[in-house]
Amino acid sequence: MAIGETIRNSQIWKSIFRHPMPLDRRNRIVVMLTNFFLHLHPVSIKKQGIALSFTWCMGGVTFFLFLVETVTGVLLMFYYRPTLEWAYNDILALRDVTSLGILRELHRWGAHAMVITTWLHMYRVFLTGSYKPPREFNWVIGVILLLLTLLLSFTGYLLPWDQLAIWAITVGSNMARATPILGYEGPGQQLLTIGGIDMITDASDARFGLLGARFVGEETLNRFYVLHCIAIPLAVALLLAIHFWRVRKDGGISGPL
Amino acid sequence: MADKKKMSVAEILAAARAQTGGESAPAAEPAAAAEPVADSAVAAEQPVVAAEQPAAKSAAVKTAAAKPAAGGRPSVAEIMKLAREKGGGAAAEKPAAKPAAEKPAAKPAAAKPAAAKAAAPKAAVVRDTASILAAARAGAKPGPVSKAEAPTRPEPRPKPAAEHAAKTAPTLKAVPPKPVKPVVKKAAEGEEDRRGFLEMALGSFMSMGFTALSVTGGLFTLGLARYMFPNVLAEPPSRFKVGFKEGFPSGKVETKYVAQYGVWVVNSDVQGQQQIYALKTVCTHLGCTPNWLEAEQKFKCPCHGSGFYKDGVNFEGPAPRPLERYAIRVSDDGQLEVDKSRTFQEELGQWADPDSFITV
Repeated sequence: MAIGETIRNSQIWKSIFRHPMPLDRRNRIVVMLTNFFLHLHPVSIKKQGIALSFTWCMGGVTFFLFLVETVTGVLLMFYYRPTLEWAYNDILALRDVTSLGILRELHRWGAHAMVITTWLHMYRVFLTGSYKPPREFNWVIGVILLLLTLLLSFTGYLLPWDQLAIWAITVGSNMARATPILGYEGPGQQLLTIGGIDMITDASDARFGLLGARFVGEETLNRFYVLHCIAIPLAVALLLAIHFWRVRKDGGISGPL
Repeated sequence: MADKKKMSVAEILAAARAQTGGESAPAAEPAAAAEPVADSAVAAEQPVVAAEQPAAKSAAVKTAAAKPAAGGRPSVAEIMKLAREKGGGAAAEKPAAKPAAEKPAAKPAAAKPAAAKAAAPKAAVVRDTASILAAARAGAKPGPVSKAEAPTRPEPRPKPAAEHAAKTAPTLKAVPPKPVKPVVKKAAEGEEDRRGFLEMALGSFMSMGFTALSVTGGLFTLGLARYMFPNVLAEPPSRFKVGFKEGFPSGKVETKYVAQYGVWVVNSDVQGQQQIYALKTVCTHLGCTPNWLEAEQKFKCPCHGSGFYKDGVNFEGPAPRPLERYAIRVSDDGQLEVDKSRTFQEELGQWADPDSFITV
């Protein structure tokens, strides 16, 4: 492997990798500490940390699916236009016309799988008691991440803009009508009445804020598109970073009690 | 057999001193073990050769090789560990050494006890721990030199030895922990290299996994490259029909195709010949879209004021050359058809091409 030797001794290689080949103990540690991607992972972990029977790798699988959704989602955005005229046609074209149209199926099935693995991850954490101190704050972050995952699923559901999507969002968003105080059919709605004028109506309540209109329409499509592609993924990425960081700071991956 | 872990400091130091006396063995007991010691000296000076001989199993070489191959100075822990191994080794071999010495066939094995014997009188000399450590740090420890140790050898050694150390230094990295293996590998080097790639790619579940990952990644990347080139375009077609000849009376500039297709269809006199031609609505200055001014009978660009006659030739402003023509023809159903995939430039003499106009 003389070529490999030459490459590893070249200045380009050495400028990228700040350490020799990880052939001994010290350099294996140095690799983990000086590499941006690898430093996210601890240098050493408990033996049961890599036991599938204990962790199910569900957190890792969920994170992997998040990456899959990010990559395929960005690629789908090249062909999808969130307008009444094009949304449905673009989805059909992604399926029937575009090369590698399986990306849309990957995105859809990955989304289903991500919801399932998130639940399973939560279930595992619960069964192993990993929510107990000092990890209780990380559990809270995990619950928020679960909610954001469900919201990603919900907002993405509308984007194909077929009958299923429109009516599913209509039904789903009707729940927001019953929001306490802020929903115009919710309990305490009459509390926000000033001088006999209702402040919470069907054009000013929580559901209206969610849809951007009284009914699911083009405003809703645009709003859900931005939420689905920009706002929620950014929030998830931020919370994921904190989530992983707290796993390390709270004593590493939890052991059996 | 002495238990290595239970050796006292005194024993360790004694053993280290015993090693120290190794080199002077020939002088101390020339008669008793002249031959074996000579052999061990050869082995010590040329560890590379020794490794391939049975003498490689002599305790001296073994213990020396056990020293960590660290490039820098040895730590106290390393020195003490080394000393313990040597002390243990020497102690362990003593009972076996005597019978071995009687047999001339056991030359390599006899080397060590000879050294130990020779060291025995010297052990009486009192040396403290600090001096032993200092000596070891300075590389003063005599005896066999392993390749790993070579670079840490001190300068003051005789020149031939320094040269030897310098020679062995470059090969330091290439020496694997077990010296037998490379000999076997060298025998079939070409074959090993070819097999080595397969072994690297498919040798274990881990490597198979990474191979599958990289193959999938490569195929996915190729697929993505294709994905980025759409199969269906929402653009207007490059060839389109604009109606029959009768719709374009002499002198008319048809502007209704500008917005959708970027084309003026003109019926005009060009150098004495009545022609219908399709002008591209792109200014030859910086690419704006000029306007047709019916009252002034000219194309006028709003960006920088370039002006073109009805036949497309530039006459004012910064435009350096006339407007371009698209291909035009009479299609099978008698309508005029413009083809935007071909352009004709006046300054290249292409307006003489019969595809660039229709004679009325």
